[in-house]
Order: sequence, then C-alpha cells, then structure tokens
Amino acid sequence: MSDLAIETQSLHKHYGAVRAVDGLEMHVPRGSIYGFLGRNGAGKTTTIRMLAGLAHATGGQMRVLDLDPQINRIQVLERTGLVIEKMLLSSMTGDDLVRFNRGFFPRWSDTLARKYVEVLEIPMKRKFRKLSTGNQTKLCLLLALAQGAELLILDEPTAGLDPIIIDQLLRVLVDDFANEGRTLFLSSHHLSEVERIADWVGIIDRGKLLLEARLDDVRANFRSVCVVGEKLPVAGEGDVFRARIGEGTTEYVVRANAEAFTAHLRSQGATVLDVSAMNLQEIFVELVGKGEADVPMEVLA
Amino acid sequence: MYLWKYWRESRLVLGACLVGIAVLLVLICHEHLFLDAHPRFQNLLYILPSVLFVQSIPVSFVAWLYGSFGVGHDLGEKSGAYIFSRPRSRAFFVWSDWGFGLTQLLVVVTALNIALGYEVHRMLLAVGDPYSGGILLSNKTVALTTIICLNIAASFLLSALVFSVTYLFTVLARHAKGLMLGAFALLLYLLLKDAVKHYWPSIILPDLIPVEFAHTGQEVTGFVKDLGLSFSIRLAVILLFPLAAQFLLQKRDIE
Repeated sequence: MSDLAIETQSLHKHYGAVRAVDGLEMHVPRGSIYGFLGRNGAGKTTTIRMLAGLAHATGGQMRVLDLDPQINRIQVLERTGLVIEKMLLSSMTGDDLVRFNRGFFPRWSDTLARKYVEVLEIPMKRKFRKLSTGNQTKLCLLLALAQGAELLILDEPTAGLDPIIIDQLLRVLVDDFANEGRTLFLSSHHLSEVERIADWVGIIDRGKLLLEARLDDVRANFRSVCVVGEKLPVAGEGDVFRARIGEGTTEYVVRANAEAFTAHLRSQGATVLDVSAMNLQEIFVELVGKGEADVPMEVLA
Repeated sequence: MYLWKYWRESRLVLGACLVGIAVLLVLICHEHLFLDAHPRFQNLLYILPSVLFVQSIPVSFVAWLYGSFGVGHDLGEKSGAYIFSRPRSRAFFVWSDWGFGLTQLLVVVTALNIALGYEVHRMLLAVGDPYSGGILLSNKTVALTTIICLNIAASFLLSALVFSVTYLFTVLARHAKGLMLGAFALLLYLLLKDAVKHYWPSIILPDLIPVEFAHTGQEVTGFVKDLGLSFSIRLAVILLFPLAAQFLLQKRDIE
C-alpha cells in the first residue's frame, strides 16, 4: 500500500486550446489534511473532477487510494466521500437523501448519519432546494461522512458560508474525520481556513502546482527580508524568490535559508532592516498573485 | 435505491395515467362512450386499427413525458456530479432509467388496452357476439384476447420508441428540455418519411406506429410481413437509443 492517498503524474486536462490542468504533479500523503489552494479558474475543480472520475484526463496518470480512477472508478467512489457541486437532488428531503445514499455504500453508517444530523443541526424534513446554503453544504458533508470513506475530497466546502457554520464544519472535519487517520483533501481559496486545519498545502495556478509542502515547513522557510544597499542580488538567484525594489529599500521574498541570505547581504555591505515570517496568505499572494506563470514547483518537505 | 428515485419522479405521471384509464373504464361500464352513439356498429374490422391509432396520441405523449425523467433531467438540475459520483457505472443509471421507464409504460399500455378491449367486447355483445368472442378478419376469426395482446405489443413498441428517442435527447441536451428536441426529431422523421414516399415511391420507410400489428389476418402491410420479425427489428432499433445514451455518458465529462 502506497503512503500516498492521491498521486498525480503529469496530469493534463485540455479544453481545446485551454490547458485547465497542465502537467500536475501532486502527492497527498495518507492521513493528512491537504489544502489544495488556488485562485478561481486555477484548475482545482477540474483536478477534483478527474480524481472523482467525472472528467476524463487528456494525459498523465493519477492514483487514488492506489487505484486509477479512470479504470477502477467504482472502487474509488466506494471508498471516497466527495462534495463537489453541492447540488443534490433538489426535490428530496434530507431523510430521502440519506435513504437514497445508503443503498450505494456498503460501509454506510446510519448511526453516523444521525449523529451529524444532531451535531450540525440539519433540518432533515425540508426539501434540499428549500434549505439555506449552509444547510445544503452541511447535508452534503453528512452524506459524505456517513458513507464510511477513507478519503474525503471537498471542493470549496466553505464557499458562501458564514463564520459560525464554517467553524462548525471545520470542527467536524478535523475532530471526527481526520483525527481518525483518514485523509482529508479540500480545495479552497479561503486561506485562513486552510491554514487553521491543514498540515499539507498544494498551491495550483494555471493548471500547474507551484508549491507542495508541509504547512509547518512553508511557515518556517518563507521569509520577507527588507534591505537597504547597493548592487543587491536579483530575483532568481539562490533562494530569492522575488525582489521588489522600492524607494531606497529592496524587499525580498526568500523560499529558504533566510539566515544565510541575510548574512550574505550584510557581507556585501547592505543593511538588513527587517526579516519577518510570512503567513500562508502572504506566501500565496507572492506565488500566484503576480501572474508568474512559470515559477518552478517547490517541494520543501 | 436508484429505482426508488426514478419512482419518486415518475409516480405522478403513472398515477395520473392509471386514474385516467380507471375513469375511461367507468365510462365504458356505464355505456357513456360511443357504444350509445352507435348501438349497431357493424364494421368492427375498422375498429381495431382505430383503437391503435386513437391510443397512439395519448400513449406517445405519456412516453414523451417519461423521456424527461432520469439522468438527463439530473444533468439539467446540476446534480449530475452528485449522481455520477455514486459508485455505479454510468451504464447502470441509463439502463435503470430506461428499464424502469419502459416497465411503467408497459403497465399504462396494458391497462389502456384492457379498457379498450373491454369496450370492443361490449360492442361485440351489442351486435350479438356473432363470432363467440372473436372478430372476423379476412374470413378468419381472431380471438379478442389475441387482438388485445397485439394492440398492447404495438402500442408498447410505439411508446418505447418515443420514450427512447426523447430519453436520448434529454441526455444529449443535458436537460429535460431535450424533450422538445426529441419531439422535433420524431416530427422530422415523419416529414422525411412523407418526402421519401413522394420522391421515391418504391422506398417505404416504416411507420412510427407499427400498423402491421393491427392488420392481423389481412394482408400484412409495412416493411416486414412477420410479426415476430417486425417486433424484433423494432426492438433492436429502440435499443439503439439507450445504447447511444450510455455511450455519450461514458465519453462525456460530467459537469
């Protein structure tokens, strides 16, 4: 059994001239909470659709729980909980949907379903289309959780939800699912939520993975360095990811070895004004916010 | 479980049809139909094709409605990703829809033809039942039950064809509105058939309504003379539509 719950190699999905996914190399460790980050249209949903066997890959390979979803789609779906569209069968009530779903999954648990109805306070007698967005999402999550999946893939699970519901959902995901050693893969562009629960992150932009690493390693390695001096190094040299020249100061983003870099600057007569840690939001903006399409992929761990 | 979903969607139509047929039967029992108007309806020969033609319009309409249920409808409702991420093959969904839809249509068609057969039976009684529960067709007595069975088969083939065509079009259009495209395709076939008949009289395209089933005992019209063969060929043609729907779904990305 592989240590990876999800693995893609040179995965491509093209729609005519549009390369929605363009050579994606992704490695999701088993038992991890993996935040799949990217802007709108970066290729997150397309990747998830391919993993779920809903879309055909143009090229490349993928493995989900050691199975190829293009060949063993049914076996993958039996072991994987998916929340993609958040649109279920609109004329059915929550109870109907539980009844409908139960028949598809051999490891379905009515006990878990009842538990999440109580924990998430979902009105089960109301038709799906009449539920609020928050309750619709909760119901989608309930169905995915109660099927006894080893892997849960969620596409933008918190989109359009208020902070209270987001908090409720994240607690359930971490406490009841991921803490039992199962793998949680969630796509989002809400970085604060991912930063709160994820232990791994992958950042995708224009169909390519720009960074894949343990979140702790990302936090430990990325630094913003503010410097005054002349003949300073430019972006691309060594670990310098970006250099932004301002009025009198130069601001660097380094991907690793910040201490060695600042020592090097000082040895050249520069004055280091500040070295600060970066949060996921700042790193994300640096990676994808400037329209850099050909940034090489980072694997820090 | 999936059949239960289909049942939920289609039960209103089935219920309405069965209620309609029950009302028809009540009217027949109380002699409110054309039995009163034509107490001595002599030429029963023409009643049988008439029974088939008269029912073809409501039966086609019901079959057309049935074409809107199932995965085509789900794709239009944006719940395709949910349905197709259940651990079953795409073929499973297509053949479940199609099989259960046809079963319900068979129930409707059978009930309708039993009601209409009862009406013919009453008409036979009204003219003294000269052939002991049968009808004289081209100097051959054919039992009424045989005729009812043939009408059921003919009407079922028609409904299956309309249902299968519209089902394919709802999948093709990824929306229940594919019904309109299905109706358009059937209409186009009728126009094509007339055009072919007009310009190339030697070529006869088959009717949508399997008329040969209503002419038992006479010289059989249509493109085949054997009912069994006719039934098989029509069934084979009908099967092409769910097969095409399955092929489309397997090749296509689900949105």
